[in-house]
Amino acid sequence: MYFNSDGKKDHTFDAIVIGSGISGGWAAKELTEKGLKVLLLDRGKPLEHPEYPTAFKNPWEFEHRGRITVEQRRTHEYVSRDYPYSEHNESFWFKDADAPYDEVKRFDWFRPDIVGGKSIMWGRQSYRWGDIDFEANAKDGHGIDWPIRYKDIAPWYDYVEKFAGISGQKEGLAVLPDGEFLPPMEMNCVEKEVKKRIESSFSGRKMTIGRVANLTEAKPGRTKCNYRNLCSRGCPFGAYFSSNSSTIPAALETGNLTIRPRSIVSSLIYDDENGKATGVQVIDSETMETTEFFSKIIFVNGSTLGSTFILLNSISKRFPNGFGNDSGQLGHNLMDHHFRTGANGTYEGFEDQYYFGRRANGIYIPRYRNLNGEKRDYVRGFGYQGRGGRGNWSSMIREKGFGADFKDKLTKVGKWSFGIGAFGECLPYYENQVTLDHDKKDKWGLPALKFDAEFKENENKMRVDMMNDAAEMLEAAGLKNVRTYDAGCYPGMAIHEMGTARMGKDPKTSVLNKWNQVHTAKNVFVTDGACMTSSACQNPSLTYMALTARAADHAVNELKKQNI
Amino acid sequence: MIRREALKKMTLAMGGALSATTISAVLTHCSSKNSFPLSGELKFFTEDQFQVISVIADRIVPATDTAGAIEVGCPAFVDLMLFDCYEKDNQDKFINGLNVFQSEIDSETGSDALSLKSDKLEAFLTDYEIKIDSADNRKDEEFFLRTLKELTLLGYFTSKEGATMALRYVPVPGKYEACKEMEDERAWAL
Repeated sequence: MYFNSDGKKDHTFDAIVIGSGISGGWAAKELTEKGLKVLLLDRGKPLEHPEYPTAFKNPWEFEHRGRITVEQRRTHEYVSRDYPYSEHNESFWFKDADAPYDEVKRFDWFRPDIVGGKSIMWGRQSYRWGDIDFEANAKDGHGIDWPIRYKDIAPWYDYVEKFAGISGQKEGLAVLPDGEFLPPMEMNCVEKEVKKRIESSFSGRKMTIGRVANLTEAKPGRTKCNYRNLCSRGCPFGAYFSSNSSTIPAALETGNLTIRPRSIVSSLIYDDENGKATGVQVIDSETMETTEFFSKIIFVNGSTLGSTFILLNSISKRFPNGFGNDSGQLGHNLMDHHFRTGANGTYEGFEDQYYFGRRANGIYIPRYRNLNGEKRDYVRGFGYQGRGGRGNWSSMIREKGFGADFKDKLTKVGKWSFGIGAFGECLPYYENQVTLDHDKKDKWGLPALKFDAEFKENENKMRVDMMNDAAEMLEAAGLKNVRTYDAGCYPGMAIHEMGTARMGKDPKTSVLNKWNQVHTAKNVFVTDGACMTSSACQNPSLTYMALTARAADHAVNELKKQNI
Repeated sequence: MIRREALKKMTLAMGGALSATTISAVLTHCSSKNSFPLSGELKFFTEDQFQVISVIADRIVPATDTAGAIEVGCPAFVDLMLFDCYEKDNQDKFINGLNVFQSEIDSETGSDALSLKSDKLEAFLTDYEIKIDSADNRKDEEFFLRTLKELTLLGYFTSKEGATMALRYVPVPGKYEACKEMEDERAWAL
């Protein structure tokens, strides 16, 4: 199944998919199932389901018990800035020292180094966007209008949800449309109590169980969630959606898929005579050898910034400023959610109650601000994620004390607490951008990305509500010792980076059309986060899945009609 | 337990000639120092420092009806972690804090940490932790003690004995029960 580069093999396919993460996996599945011979390229190392190296390790089998070393912090400068990089899955992450980037302003860029990309480490929260999101730019004038509306994507949400498996509770909210859910996970007693009190104290606010890509009913080849909550190590049960457990096996099943790991796409090949892209340039990450592959259509799914890097680095006579960049928008309008602010408190009661199993999911409070005519001193809104639970030794690690009583206290179940943190929408600002720095080369001789993006006044004003509303709700919910926090936030931290090759109606102001095709090279599709025209406040991966399946369907139809 | 081990060794060394009175004298007056076995090469501590770290770790998580920090190898874990996971400036801070701690325990109790009777050491540590926490010029000592406690607790509760005996460890729960009557007060290990 994996490509064996003997230099003699035919290097021509019907389609090339660049990147095997959430969106690339979907592109590979859809295109192969529609009969196309597909080459799936990924710059990362092979990672084959269900062989995840640490999935069954016990805590004591990790030398540093999950922590990373000084040496790892040195070689993984950016990814070690936050929690996702740990000893538990350290081999999944890209070695930053091999490709340092420029930060005019701080940007935390989390790059994976495996087939499957971040679909292995993702947070799995899966929310639909609604019309309020697709209409937002048109209504308040920030950015440009989306070329699609909810009705265009709704059937594709249905389609991808049924395959991926999203558990959740229907709520009938326009702001967070319901989906094709598997049975919801259950809230614990404190969460149920908090839900009741928030909903009765604040009209228009709702608290629901997280909608998560963890199975509560088995699917072919995948068992239901075992409540280990070790998802980010890879799940041998295939109990959460990842490319490795779900879309790649489906694509392989067709016999039409070839996967080539360790394949860094440096650029797209453009044929000036025929006016279309004809293939890709690939550098083998180990041997440094360069190869070319050719195809009728190309899906660029290298992650928001990986994809935009490839487009910026694809220079031809026709596209001297980056592939499909007639508009000058390529690299601009970089967005990410801003978060790391909210509140938490303790709950008195339910002392004799505890849960069994580790639910890899929390609760969600959908957006309620700036709806139904309300006007805050900022536009757009935010949603909350959170959870309730009982403490254990790790929550008491700073407690004072020594001796047998101290030990006894730390072995016992702690107090109930409950906390929520907000994820806020970020506006598309033209000046928030990435460019190429040709003076700085990575290990493979490729230029570095230069980040120049920041959150601005609208986000900062929103953060005041994000923090204070959290405290108000928690107090109304009867929690004690309610404490607010704002730990500050830089773009990239939420790992919801979006934009830089946005969709739009007008080729003069956008890179992609309503089918995710490059306006001026219609056999090239970009269906990962790069295509996003606004950021909403919901976790974006489900939307990438739906857009990808929709674009793949369109691509095959267009191929059949010989339009591309 | 450690003390008893030391006594046993002493007994052997003296040809089994220790009388009950002598043993009792040793226990109460602590004329013998605690000594902790090394399981391998030290990476960060000197042997003397390792002994002091061990005797404190033994007071952070003593052996009770379940294993303590010594049995599960916490001191060697602290040694490894300080060597591998802490930057030079924090390593220096830790050692500086440890040195200040040692000189203070000497001057305030007239005895070093290894010679002090375990209940006396525990009482000293309890007071010391509160004292340095409320002072603003005791940053190194505070860092030393907090880091030692954190690493000892991390090492202990993620050890096999700590996770499966002191706590409850279920690698594959297989289901989620949101709320049920608690039949065991021990917390889940994960």
